[in-house]
Amino acid sequence: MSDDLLGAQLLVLVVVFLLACWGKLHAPKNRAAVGYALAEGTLALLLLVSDTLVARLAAAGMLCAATWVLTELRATRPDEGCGCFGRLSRIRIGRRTVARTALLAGVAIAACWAPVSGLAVLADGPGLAEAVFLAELAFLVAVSPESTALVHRAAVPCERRVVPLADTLRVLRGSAAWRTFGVGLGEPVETWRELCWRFVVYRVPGGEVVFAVSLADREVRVAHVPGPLLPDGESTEFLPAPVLV
Amino acid sequence: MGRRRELRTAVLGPAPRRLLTSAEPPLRAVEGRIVDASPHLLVLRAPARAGGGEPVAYEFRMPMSGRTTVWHGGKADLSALVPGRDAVVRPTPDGLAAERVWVDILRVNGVIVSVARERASGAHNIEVDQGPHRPRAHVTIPKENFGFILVRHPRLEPGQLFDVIALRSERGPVAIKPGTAQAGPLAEVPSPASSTLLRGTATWFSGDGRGAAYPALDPYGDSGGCPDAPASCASLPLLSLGSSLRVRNDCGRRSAEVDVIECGCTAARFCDRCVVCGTSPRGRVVELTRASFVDLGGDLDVGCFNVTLVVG
Repeated sequence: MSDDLLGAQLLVLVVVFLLACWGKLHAPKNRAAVGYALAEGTLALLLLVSDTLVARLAAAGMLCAATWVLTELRATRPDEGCGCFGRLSRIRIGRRTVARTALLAGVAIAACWAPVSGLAVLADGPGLAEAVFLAELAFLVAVSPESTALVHRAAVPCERRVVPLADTLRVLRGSAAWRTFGVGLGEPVETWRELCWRFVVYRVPGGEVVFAVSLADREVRVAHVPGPLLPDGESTEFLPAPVLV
Repeated sequence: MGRRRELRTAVLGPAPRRLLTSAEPPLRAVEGRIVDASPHLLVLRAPARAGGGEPVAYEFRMPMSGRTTVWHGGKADLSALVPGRDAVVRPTPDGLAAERVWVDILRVNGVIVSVARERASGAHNIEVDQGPHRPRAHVTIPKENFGFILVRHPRLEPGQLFDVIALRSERGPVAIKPGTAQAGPLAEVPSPASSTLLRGTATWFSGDGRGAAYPALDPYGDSGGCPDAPASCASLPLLSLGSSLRVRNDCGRRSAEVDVIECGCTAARFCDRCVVCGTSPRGRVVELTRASFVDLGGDLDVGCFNVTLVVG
C-alpha cells in the first residue's frame, strides 16, 4: 500500500512539471523561461520513464529552492507573479502560491522513495495509486491561486471586467518594466483604458513614457514617445462636421 | 484624443483591423444654421476647421432638387427653411445635392424627473434627466401628439425612461414622436454578448460635430466614464474617450470609423430593440451625433438603425 502512495507522488510530479513546461512554452517571457521549461519537461520525462534517484533528488531540490525563492519574492516583489505556469501565474504571489509549492516540495521528497518509475506505476492498471494521484491533483488545483483566477476570468471576460486604477498601478509598479524605466517618475499625467489594456502616461524630458498594463494577464509593455507631437487639443484632422466640400 | 491613438500604437503596435463585411463609405452630412433658402439652393452657415487652424464659419451651398424632402415636425415644404433655423442636411449618394433636410430636430432621452399637465392647453410638461453629461430638458408634449407618445411610453411617471424626437421651439423642445420602437423601454434583460463585435441599436443625440457616445466607458482615470453609471444592458466591453469604433448601419449598409467623444450613460439604461430592418438584439450599443448618424444613412426622425459595431 505504501508503494502505491509513493508511486502516486511520482505521477503528481510528472503532471505538474509537464503543465509548468507547457505553460512557460506557451508564451515565454524570456530565454530563461524557455530554459526552465525545458528543464521541467526533461525532469518530467525522466521521472516517468526511469527510477533513477538523481532525477528525483533534482526535482525535490528544485521545488525546495522554489519555495524559498517564492517566500522571498512574496516579501519583495509580490506583484510580478511567480510565473510557475507561465502567463497563467502572473497573479500576485500570496500564501496560497507559497503553500502550493511547499506542498509540491513535500511530494517530491516523498517520491524519492518510490520503488518504480512513473510508467511502471501506470502499468499496474487502475488502482489505489491512481486514485490517490487524482485526489492529490484535485487538492492541488483547489489550493492553487491560478484556478481561482481562471474561474474569475471565465466568468467575466477581461474586456468587461471592472478593474480599479489602483490595482493597475500596483501591478505596474511591481513590474520589471517599471524598475527599468519608471523609477522616480512620480504621478501619471494621463490614464485610460481600451478593452483589456490600461494605458498610463508619464511626462519625461523630451517626451512621454507610456506603459500598457494588461488587465488579462498583468503583462506590462512600455514605450518612449518623443514629443508631444502636437500641442494638447490640436489635431491635424478637420473638424468632424461639417466638412468642406 | 488623437494623441491617445499615437501612444497606443507606440506601445502595442497598430491595432488589428477587424473588417466588417463590405459596406459603402459614409455620406458627408452638413449641419449648421440656415442663412438663405430658395427652391434650388440652401445656404447653411457652420464652423469648420481647415489644416488644423482655428474654426472658421463657412457658408455651405447645397443645391436642392424636386426630390429633396424636408422635415420640420413632420413632412414639411420649403417654407420650413427659414433663415436662423438649425438644419442637418443629408446629401445624395453622389454628394451633389441635398436629399433630406431636418430642420430644428432634437432628441430628448433619459429618466423622467417630473410630469405636469397644463389645464388650459392640455399639454404635458416633462422634465427629463439626460444624464451627467447633458443638461436637464423640459419637453412639452402637445395635446395632439400625446397619443403617439403614450403608445411607446404608457407610464409617464417619474423614474420611467423617456425618449422622444422633438422640435426646437422658443418654449423649448416640443415632443413630436417617440424615439423608440418599443413600449416601456426599461432595462430588462442583459444581452449575453461579450466580444468586441457587437450588434444592437444605434440612436442619435443632440450633439454637434461627428462622434459617438458609448455607454460603457471605464470610470477610472481619464477614461471619461461615470462612477455611478448603470451597467449597460448590452454587456459592452469597456473603452475610453478617444477610442475608435467601426460602425456599420446594417439597414443602409454604410460604415464609418467614429471616435468616442462622450459617455453614453443614459443609453446604457435602454434595453429596447430597433426594428428599422429586422429586429436588432436588445440594447443601445452606441449613440451617434446627428452628423455621424446621417453620415451612415440614418433618418433622424426615425431615431435608430440596426448596427454592427467593432470596438477597439
